[in-house]
Amino acid sequence: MTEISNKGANEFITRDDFIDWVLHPTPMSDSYWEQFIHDNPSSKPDIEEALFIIKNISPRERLMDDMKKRALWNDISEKTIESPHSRRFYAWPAAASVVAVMFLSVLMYVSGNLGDEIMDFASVKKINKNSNEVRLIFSDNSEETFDLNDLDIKYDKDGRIEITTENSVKSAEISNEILHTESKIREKKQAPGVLGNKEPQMNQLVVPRGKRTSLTLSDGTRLYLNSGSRAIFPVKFPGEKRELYIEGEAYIEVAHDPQRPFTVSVNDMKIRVVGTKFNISAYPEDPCCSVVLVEGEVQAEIHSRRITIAPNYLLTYRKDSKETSLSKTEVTPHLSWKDGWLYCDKQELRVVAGKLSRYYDIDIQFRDEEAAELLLSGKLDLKTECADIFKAISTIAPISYEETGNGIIISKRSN
Amino acid sequence: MNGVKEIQSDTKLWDDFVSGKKEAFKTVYCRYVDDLFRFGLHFTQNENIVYDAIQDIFIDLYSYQPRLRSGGRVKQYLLVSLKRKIFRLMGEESKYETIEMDQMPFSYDLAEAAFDAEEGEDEKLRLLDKAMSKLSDRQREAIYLRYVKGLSYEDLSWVLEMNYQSVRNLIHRGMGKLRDFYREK
Repeated sequence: MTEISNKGANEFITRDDFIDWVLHPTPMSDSYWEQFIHDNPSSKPDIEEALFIIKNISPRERLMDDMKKRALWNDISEKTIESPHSRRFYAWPAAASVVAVMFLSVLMYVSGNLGDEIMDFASVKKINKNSNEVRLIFSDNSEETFDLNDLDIKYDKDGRIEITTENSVKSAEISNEILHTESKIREKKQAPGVLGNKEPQMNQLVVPRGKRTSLTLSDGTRLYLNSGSRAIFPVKFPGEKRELYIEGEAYIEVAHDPQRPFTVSVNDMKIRVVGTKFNISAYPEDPCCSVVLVEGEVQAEIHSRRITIAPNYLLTYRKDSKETSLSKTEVTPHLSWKDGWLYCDKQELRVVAGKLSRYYDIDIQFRDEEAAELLLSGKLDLKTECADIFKAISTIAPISYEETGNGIIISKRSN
Repeated sequence: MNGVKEIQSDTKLWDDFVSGKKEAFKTVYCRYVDDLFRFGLHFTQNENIVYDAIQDIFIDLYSYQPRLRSGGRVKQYLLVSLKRKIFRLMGEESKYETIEMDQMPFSYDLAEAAFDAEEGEDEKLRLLDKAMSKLSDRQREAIYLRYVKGLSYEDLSWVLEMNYQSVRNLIHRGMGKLRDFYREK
């Protein structure tokens, strides 16, 4: 293979292994290049320059409008699937099948990217999807469960836990139980084997479908976890960084502490902040994850790309195409779930149904695609029964619904 | 894990489509239409041309289906088809002017600096933007596909319809030039 003479940064910026590293870093390539810079200190400026260029070379691009996407698909399907079409002949030149070599590195990348204690913990602690109790799982694998909504769980500076419920009627009834639980938890925290361990103690909070929970961490950071979510966090934040893992949706108010930056990891991205308020939605079953910033400033790192988000901006990451978009947005609709409202602005009924299904823990099915693709705008009151919500929707959209044993089936209204 | 799933399902998606599964056709559309739209807009500012081209290549793809073989590279195929189609549509638009396909423009504006860009970063980005504008259209296109879209050299030689070594040289020269302009200020 003939190569053009190598010189300076050009050598790095066009080297396949270098590009692969920048675009798809793995723990192996990270340590290789760290070592490389260590062994060749004179190469550092060239490497930094090459890194800067590759990381910043993305162009400004317009996104295709969703409406247009749908309209274009309708045009295409009319001329293809929906019409018996005379077929032309064409020979597709055979191409070798797709790069198998990449598999290993991709696997390692994912397990390595978030390769800290938090991700280890996240992968070990399998959660039981069918449970409908809020579960608090401790570092020794023991757990406490609560069959209550709107719990408020608070960790103090020393890692002690206080649990209250916002529902004042119920709180009187259960106060004894809570005290009891609290003391049990305290005991557990001091269980031998956990003490003297240098690794930070990780706890996990699992909020099932149909429930919401608020959580205050030992540094004062507050989280509101939406239905079907979990958070993994240390009992106390050791050292200079604060890290947290989230799956699902959470509204987070990070306690300001410039000395200790805060990182929130979800499956595909990391969010770095100092002190701020933002909403993150990262359900494994959703096609996108998104971050909406209310106050302050956050930086998202998605694979190797860093994107800074300003207040009133929405960052969306599409998992299938790995594309990101940043757009100005109205903040309230994204946070309204924590106050019991669901705002929709030209959202597909399918998406709305997905949210309702999680919020109420019911199964929602569509009899036909067309109904699922209807666009919905408005404000839904989540404090009412789920069936009432569909009743409301059916008055503004051409759908009908039927209640079954454990769910709702939606179909297009035929009239 | 995403990457693995994507690679596996890309070939599977293609095979499903080739074997006549109708829903696979819509999935192909949904998965690639964004990429195609963005790629297309580098060749022309006229969105309607890009829409028409996307529509045409999917209608073509559908009609070719019985003749397609499994194991195809759907993304590369769509990218190169789109480019050819846009080229043809642009030619029809400006009847008097005939250009070769390898003379198609490839416009490129760098994304804006991050809000918290470090001091001096804005200036560096401006220099990079300026340097990009001094490259040839093909160099910009190759750099886009390799560094932004992460296509391999093999994929690139498909999309650019050049042989492997020419693609390597194109990138090598392009990046060399880019860096020189960038350093020159």
